[in-house]
This record gives sequence, C-alpha cells and structure tokens, in this order.
Amino acid sequence: MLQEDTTSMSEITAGRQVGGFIGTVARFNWRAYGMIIALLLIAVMFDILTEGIFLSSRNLAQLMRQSAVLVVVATGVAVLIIQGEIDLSIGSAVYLTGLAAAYAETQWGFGTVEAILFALAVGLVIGCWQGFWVAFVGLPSFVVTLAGLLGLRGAGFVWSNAATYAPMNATHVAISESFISPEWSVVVVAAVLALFIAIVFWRWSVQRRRFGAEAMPPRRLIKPVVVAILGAAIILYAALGFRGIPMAVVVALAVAGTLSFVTLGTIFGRQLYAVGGNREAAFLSGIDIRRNLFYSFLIMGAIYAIGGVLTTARLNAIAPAVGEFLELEAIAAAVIGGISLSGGIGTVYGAIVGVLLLVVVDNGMSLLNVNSFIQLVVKALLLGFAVWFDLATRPGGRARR
Amino acid sequence: MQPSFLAASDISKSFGGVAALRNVSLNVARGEIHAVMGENGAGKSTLMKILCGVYPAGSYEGSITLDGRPARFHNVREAEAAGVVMIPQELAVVGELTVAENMFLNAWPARGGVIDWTRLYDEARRTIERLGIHVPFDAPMKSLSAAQQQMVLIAKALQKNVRVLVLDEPTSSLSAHETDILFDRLRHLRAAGITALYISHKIDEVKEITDTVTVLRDGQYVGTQPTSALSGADIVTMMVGRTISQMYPRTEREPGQPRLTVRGFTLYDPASSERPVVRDVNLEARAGEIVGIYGLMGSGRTELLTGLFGAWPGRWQAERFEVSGKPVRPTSPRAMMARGVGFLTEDRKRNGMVPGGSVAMNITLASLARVSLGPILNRDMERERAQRFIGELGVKTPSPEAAISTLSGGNQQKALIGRWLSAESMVLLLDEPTRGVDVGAKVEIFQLLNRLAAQGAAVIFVSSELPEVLGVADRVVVMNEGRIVADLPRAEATQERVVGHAAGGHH
Repeated sequence: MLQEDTTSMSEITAGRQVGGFIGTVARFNWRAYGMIIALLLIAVMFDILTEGIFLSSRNLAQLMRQSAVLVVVATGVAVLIIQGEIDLSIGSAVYLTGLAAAYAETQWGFGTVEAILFALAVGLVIGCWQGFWVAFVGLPSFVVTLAGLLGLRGAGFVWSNAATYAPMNATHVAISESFISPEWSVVVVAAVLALFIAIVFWRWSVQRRRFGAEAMPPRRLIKPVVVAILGAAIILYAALGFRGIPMAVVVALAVAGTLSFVTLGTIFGRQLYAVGGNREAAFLSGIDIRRNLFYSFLIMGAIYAIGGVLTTARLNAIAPAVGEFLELEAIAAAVIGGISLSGGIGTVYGAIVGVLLLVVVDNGMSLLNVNSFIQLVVKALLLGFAVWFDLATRPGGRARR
Repeated sequence: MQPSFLAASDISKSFGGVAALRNVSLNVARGEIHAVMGENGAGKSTLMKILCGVYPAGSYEGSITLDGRPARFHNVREAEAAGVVMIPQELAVVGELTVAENMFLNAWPARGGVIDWTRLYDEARRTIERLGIHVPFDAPMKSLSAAQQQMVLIAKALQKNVRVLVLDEPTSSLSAHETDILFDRLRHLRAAGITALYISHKIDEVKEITDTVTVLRDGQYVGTQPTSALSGADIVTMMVGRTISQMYPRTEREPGQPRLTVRGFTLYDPASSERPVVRDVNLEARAGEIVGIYGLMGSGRTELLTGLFGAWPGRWQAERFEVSGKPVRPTSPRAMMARGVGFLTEDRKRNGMVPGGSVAMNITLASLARVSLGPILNRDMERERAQRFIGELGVKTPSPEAAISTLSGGNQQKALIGRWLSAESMVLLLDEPTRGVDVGAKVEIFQLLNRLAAQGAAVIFVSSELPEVLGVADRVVVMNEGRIVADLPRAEATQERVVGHAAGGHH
C-alpha cells in the first residue's frame, strides 16, 4: 500500500543507520547543520560590519554569558514542548526564584548555598503546583502556566513590594561571573573533547562488533567530531583571549547536557517523544502520561531555580522586571532550533542552536547600534524564517503543520 | 460494442517511484452502476481521485474521455463542472450549518455578497424532493445520521448537474436498513440516466446493486465482466488472485488453559454513566485459541476490546475478570500489560503508530524496560530486539532506524504487532488487524496468528470481513447491540448463522 502523506522524519529518526550514542549524535542532521552554517555566516557578517569587534574574544565571551540563562530555560521548555505541552510561566517563575535567593541573602543573611537551596525549594514548589493542575487535574498546560505567568510575578510583587534587592553574596555572583582560568580552560576543554571523541569511537567499535556490516559507516562519525572540535575551538578562542571560560557557560552546558541525555538516552525521554508524537498510541502502550508530565514540571521547577540563581548572579540584584518575556524567548529559541510545537519532533541541542541564533542577532545589532524597535522586527523575521526553513527542508514537511 | 460514456485508458500513476496504478483501463457505459473492486491498496481510490481531478491532469499517464470528449481535469472544480462528482468515504460536512447551507457550501446564492436565503431554501427543498428523500433541510447537519448526510451530499451533487456519481465505499458506516434506502435511491438515479461508479470490496452489495464489475489488483487491471455473469467466488478469486484456502491458512491446535476469562463484563458510555455500550459479556479465550469477534458497526466490538485492555474511559463492571487464572482489575493499559495483555488498535494512524518515530522505536515502545539498563536506554539492545521481530514478522524496512511512516500499511501493521510480541503478550487483542493491508500481508498476518496461537498465546481478533472471521477463527463470537449473541465453534459457524445473529435475527 502506498503512503501518500509520508510524515516527516524527526531528528530522532532521520539517520537511517545504527542507533546508540553515536547514532544520536550523527542524527544531528543537515537541517540542524544548516542552522549552524547560517549562524556562522551571520557571525562573519556582523564581524565585517563591526570591523572585527563582533568576533573578538571579549565579545564572544560576553555573548556566551548572555546566552547562559536562555540556554537553561530553552532546553528546559524543550522537555515540555517535545511532549506537546508548553510553559508560559518561565519568566515569572525565574523572577520569583531569583527573588527568593536575593531576599534570603539580603534580608535574612543566608549564605549562598542555603539561598540556592531555598530558591530550588521555591522552584520545585512552583513545579509541583503547576504539575499538579496539568497532570492530575487535567487542565491544559497553556492555561495553568498562563496563570503562572501572571500569578507568580504578582506573588513576587506582593512579597517584595516590587522592590529591588542588592547586592548578592560574592560567592553567589561568582556562579555566573567568575571564570575558569585560561590554563585550566585548556585542560577542561581538551579533556571534555577527548572524552567525547573517545566515547564516539568506543561506541562505534562496539557496534561494529555487534552488527558487523550494518554498523554505521565511519564517514558518519566525521560530522559530530567536526562540530565538537569546532565548538571547543570557539569556546577556547573566546576563553583564552579574555579571562577564561565564564562559569555561567559551564552551568548552562551542564544543564543542556543533562537534558539532552534525559530526553534522548532514557526511557523517560523516549516516552516524552512518544507522547508528543501520538498521545493515544503512547497511552495504549502503557506509558504513564500524567506521571511523566508531573516529573517534567518538577524538572522545570529546578530549571526556574537555576535560571533565577544565574540571573541574580549576573545582575548582582533582583529587580521587578527580571525575566519578563523570558518564556517567549525560550519558546522562540526552541522553535527556531527545530522543535515542533505540536510535539514529538526536535531535540534539546536544537534549542541551543536556536538560542545562539537569537543571541548572536541580538548582540550583533546592539553593537551596530541598531534601533531597538527594529531589533524586535528583525527577531520576528528570524523566527518566521527559521520555521519556514525547518518546514521546507523537512521531507514532505511543507503541507504539514 | 457501444462506445463508453466514461473511458480511462492506460492510466499509470506513481508516488515517489512506487507505482500505484500500471496501465489501468476503465470503460463505463452511460447510465449503469459500475463497481470498481479490489483489496485495499489495489489502486481503486487512486483511480477515482484521478477521475475526479484530485490528482490533476499531468500527474499521471494515460487518457480519459467523458462522453467522447477528452477530459483533462486540473482540479476538483473542473471535474465537478464536467459532471463528475465524488462522494467520499469520510463525509465532508460542516456540522453546525444547516442541511440547505451544506448543500450550497461556498456557492450560496447571493445578491451583492448577501445570501439570498429564500432562494437557498427553495432550491435545497426542490433538490431534496427530486431525490425523493425526507430530510429536514433547515436542521443542523450534525443532527442527521451518517446515511442522511450521505443523501444530502448526493443531493448536492444532483444540484451540480452530475453525470457521473462516484461513491467511495458508501455503505461503510450504514446499517443494513440504511443501505437498502441508499440502493433504492441509486436505482432511482440510474433510471434517471445518471451513471455511477461504486467503489467497494463487499461482494454481496456489488452483486445486488451493480450492472458491471471491474476488478483491480496491486495497481493493475484484472478484468471487467457483467455482474450477473460472476459468482461471489469468482469475484474473490479475481480480487485476491488466489483461492480461499490459500487465503486463510490454518493449523490444528488443542486449546490449553484459559488465558482470559470475563463474566458479566459491562461498559458504560463515558458521556452518560447509565447507558451501557457493552452489556454483560461472558468471554473466554484459551491458550492456543483464536477467537474471532464479528459484529456490525456499533455492535460494541471495539469498545469490548478497549475495555478488556483497561483503556475504557467510562465506568465498567465485571463479576469476574481473570488473566491466566488470576483476578485483575482492568483499570489501565499498564495494569493489563503487566499481566501479558496486548492491544493492536483498529486505526494505526490515530492511536497505533508514533509517526515521527523509527520502526525500532515503535516496536520497542511497549517494552522499553527490556532494552534498557535501569532507566537508561541501550540503543544497541533496542536495535537487536527490533531486528529480531523485524525478522520474525518479515517487516520489509531498509533498516530498524527507518521512519515507520515510510513503510507500506502492511509493514506498519506487522511492526505494530511486533510491539506486542516484544512486550511478550500472551493475550493478544487485535482490532481489525488486516485493515489497510494488502493481500499478501494479510496472508502473512493470518499465518502469524496461527503461529502465535501454536506457541500458546490466546488471540482475540475483531474483523468486519466475515470470510476472514470464518476462515481464521477457532471460535466465532457474534456481537449485536453490545451483547454477545452467539458463541459458535468453528464447525457451526456458517455465514448465514453468523450474519443472522449479527443482524439481531436469532434472539
């Protein structure tokens, strides 16, 4: 029988070859690479326009620090979007957890560790609360988190009387603003890169032993290795020319790496894709959709706290406008990175690419002193173009939503 | 021979390199009801979509003439303007609008952009009267039965001066009585000189209503004969290209211990907790047994399987519910899976496949713990397990990592059966396991059911194809209005008895 409406292949399945860790990495496919290439071209363009400022180490380090919070929340919301849900409360929740940390440090004299634990507790309570209404009462996540968008900021205003609290503890600020020294940066990056390449080749050799001729051809290893080396080189270039690797980048990469693994490497993550791809089929395959959804909101709770701590560290304060529109930027980044709002399609590292595109454009235009009103319009066009590009390059994707 | 009114010659059409039609010809005389028959995937629908302009001229090879003139339709509107109108299987109506409004959908009589309601209702009434049916033309469309909606669409076609009416599986959602009314109206239209193409794979209906039969198989033309010259068996042989005994392979088995036993199982409508949709069902399936459930649409067969799998959304009751001798409460699919029950749904696309996922992902979805170390997936184990069932079931796929949506219907179905084999289900509930599957794959699925039963599984399958139920099942259970009205051993299950029970004749 003929399938006329051949549905698109997602990143999780686009590779026709072997699965496994390297399969996962190799399936970081050409569409995603297209985005990376676009990113590099835009960067070079900005560099020419700014006469070398854009690609200076100092600016790149700055740009990475700017991206950190957005990477954290965008990869977090990806976990929800992949299962066909949404979170609109991110900005307000990040504000409230940030406020918790700042209030604890400035008013109660908490140490940094206690303040972070307090912020984490607040984040988890928010996650529990929203997760309860979505997963166990069955309200749409759109509605519950829309209420969160309004209510959590409101709660913060009530608590703080919309005041600004500063300064944070020095050790707290260090979480975002300190650096791994240039010497240690080289060691760390080299070690992580070596580990990554070693795992790729080790998994590949295991597969070759197990599946023989059907294992992945060696040329498919080139792409992930090249991308990894490229990424490491850019980080090192920025780090060595400035003061080393910003701590915020380390935190963001740790969160993104963890969520990548959770979504692609665990039963839980696989179930999220199944629920997003076909909810009824997932239910009839014995998947506990509600439990997974609740856990996902708990993950979001931790994400809020990490976002709040990073933001307060970066600002060395909490202010009433902190986190405004953060949820929309996170969703935009996820969508730009190829995650389908209808669920089941896209990856966490796609969201990282989306964040980088947004931040690069933002930073480049600011350096060029582009009018901030025009900046909004350009970002809107970027969002539209990226989604069009994604659909147009997806096999059979144009007609589909 | 008189020249054909509608002639299609040497039509070929392919999708992405796969041929759907190869040099198919169709010659239809003016004013006849012409059946186009074939198994799923034979190319009936593709051919009809070409005739009706859904696939535009240029996207296929070959030529079509209508009333002696070449017909090259570029879209549905052009086909309709020429008088070729299709009544699709899934009726396209706007439920909230009235019958009359639906009849003029997007072509409402208007003066200067304002709808002329008087004319609209007048013309609607006249057309409905012309068809000789009784439908309240000012009622919302959704308040009508499927049969009435179909009539309204036929009336709508009449309004467009239809010359060729194309009916795609028109009885698939009609009761026996409604089917009679439809046939009566079709004869009426034939007398009025309207030509009809009748797409179906139901032999009895074709014998009753059509004048000529054209059979397609695997995208190729098999033959055209006057209906009166063919017996039911002749048509089957033309359609499947093999005889019944080859179609339904069987092995002899001795049933063992009961795998599934239910007594007094009742399911209530989730919308109104007092109305039962499955009533007081007693059912047993033993190891090594294939139980076939037959019933008309709405007899409660799908609901029963859903309930047995613990997925019924409404209230349920059971005096006894046991799997392999142990009492179970069917509260969730997970609870039933833990006892070794698996459920293949009727509609692959709606609630079977995860379309964006790979074949391997779809196969292992209900048994992820078996391809994991703790909570962490092991893709090599996954691939090995998927490959095992791909091999056992003969799923034709370039690799386990290929997207399942790129496979043919039959191979998708085999992969989804593989999902339950991978979950090591010992009670298999299969709802229309051969729907949308080509003939070759059907035979393979039947062979597979036999093999699973021989290995000690209990298989309960629902089918609306009576020959399938009679050919494959060891025991035939007949449902009518939510009840089991007959439970017949194979030897006693004749076509007449089963159909009689299903229609509610033998209380």
